[in-house]
Amino acid sequence: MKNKDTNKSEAYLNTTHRLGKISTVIAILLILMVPTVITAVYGKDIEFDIPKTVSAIVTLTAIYGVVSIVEVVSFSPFLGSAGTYLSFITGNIMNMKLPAATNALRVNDMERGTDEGEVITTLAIGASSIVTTLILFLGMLFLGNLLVPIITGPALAPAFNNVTPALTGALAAPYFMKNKKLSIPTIIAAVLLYLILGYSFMSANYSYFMLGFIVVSFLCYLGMYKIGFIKEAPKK
Amino acid sequence: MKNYLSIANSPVMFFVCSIVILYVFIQSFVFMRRAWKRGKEIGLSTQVMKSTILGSGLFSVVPSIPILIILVMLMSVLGNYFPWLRLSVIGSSSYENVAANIAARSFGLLSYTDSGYNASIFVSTMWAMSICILYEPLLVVFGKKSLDRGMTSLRKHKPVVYTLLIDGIFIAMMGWFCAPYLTYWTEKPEQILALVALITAGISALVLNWLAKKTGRHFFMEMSFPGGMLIGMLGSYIANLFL
Repeated sequence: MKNKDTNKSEAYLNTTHRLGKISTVIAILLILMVPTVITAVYGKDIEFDIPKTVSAIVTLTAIYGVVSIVEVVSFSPFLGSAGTYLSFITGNIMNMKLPAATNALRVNDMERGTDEGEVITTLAIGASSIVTTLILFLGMLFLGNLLVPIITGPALAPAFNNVTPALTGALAAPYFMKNKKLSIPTIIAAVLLYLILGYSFMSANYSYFMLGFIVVSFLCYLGMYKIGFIKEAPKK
Repeated sequence: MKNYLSIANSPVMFFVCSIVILYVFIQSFVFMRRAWKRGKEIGLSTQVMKSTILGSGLFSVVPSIPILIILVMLMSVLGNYFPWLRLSVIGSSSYENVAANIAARSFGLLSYTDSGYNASIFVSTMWAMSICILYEPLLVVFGKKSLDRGMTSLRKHKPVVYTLLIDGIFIAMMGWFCAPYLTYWTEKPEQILALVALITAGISALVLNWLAKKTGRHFFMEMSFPGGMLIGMLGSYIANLFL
């Protein structure tokens, strides 16, 4: 019975990977179709400057190449298999998909990497993507021009300018509280880095420092576990 | 040369952008349908799955609003449809604005709001933004399965290291995300509002979790994250009244 379940689980994951790869490749081709069609239709009316376009691509690659690697390696274990394929096509991972998946697991008391966790993260990320797509569609049609003057106005701006810190606080606090021995030194180390090196410097090198910080933190946690400072693995 | 806004707001642009967004929209349903069926197979209750979808959908409304602001900002310069596409598919509010500016700077402009912005730069911007956003999905296509295999093997053979890696790294990542909000106000005092939002949201989430345990009502647990976030925003709103 257990073998049968394992086989079903493996079959589901294999199909997920196949579907994920195929659907992502189609999405990539469709994304490239947009500038291709526009260049084909309007190309004769404009002077298309290839060297400057390549220069823009090189600059963007230099900035976002590393960010891409860091984000894929750091975020994908938290999103599940199907959730990763969906998230990296629908975007807004740090502010939408990662919190949606993590919160769904926590609320339902499920673990990452399990069959249940995979299902729940996929449902959470899918629902989040659908809602964002609908809101942006309405935003493009009329909602944006209607709402933006109100939410960026002096009365509501202090609240809406701080959605991200509020989201981060609500997501992180329960984990920090359950894992004080790990989280207190981690927060202190991150805060000291920001205080010593300054916000501008840290922002300019955000991805490099984030990667380094995560690797060093993991090695420290491993050391803390080996010397017996923490007796058990982190709690969810 | 054609005015770039006549290209940006053309029916052709609307049509091609709609195809991509519709495809990605359907993709979400396909993955969710598979997950729903798999959930039934492994014995997950309909109630749990429904509440997950509803909770996640509701939570996503508020964080979509800052994206809406970026959308309107970009629409005023890049036309209606391309920003709609970029923010609906792969893009993020932080990436698109910077990417559009970098593309404009490659043409010697200060930003994409510069008066020299023309159709040629607009088409180049489309190419640069479209190509450079593809690195992440390409990495996922080529690397996700191997990454998953490695994780499954680690989970099986070294469960503690696996848990430290996954949950420990989550704590490290959250610590890293919190640090700028905890410190930036020392350089820029008005950023105290971000600190207030972070702390108020965290405390509210903890109180709602505590209420869930105390009363045994799952509703409080479900509300702890979105509720904490909203109370955090309210906190910065109130703090601003006193500043």
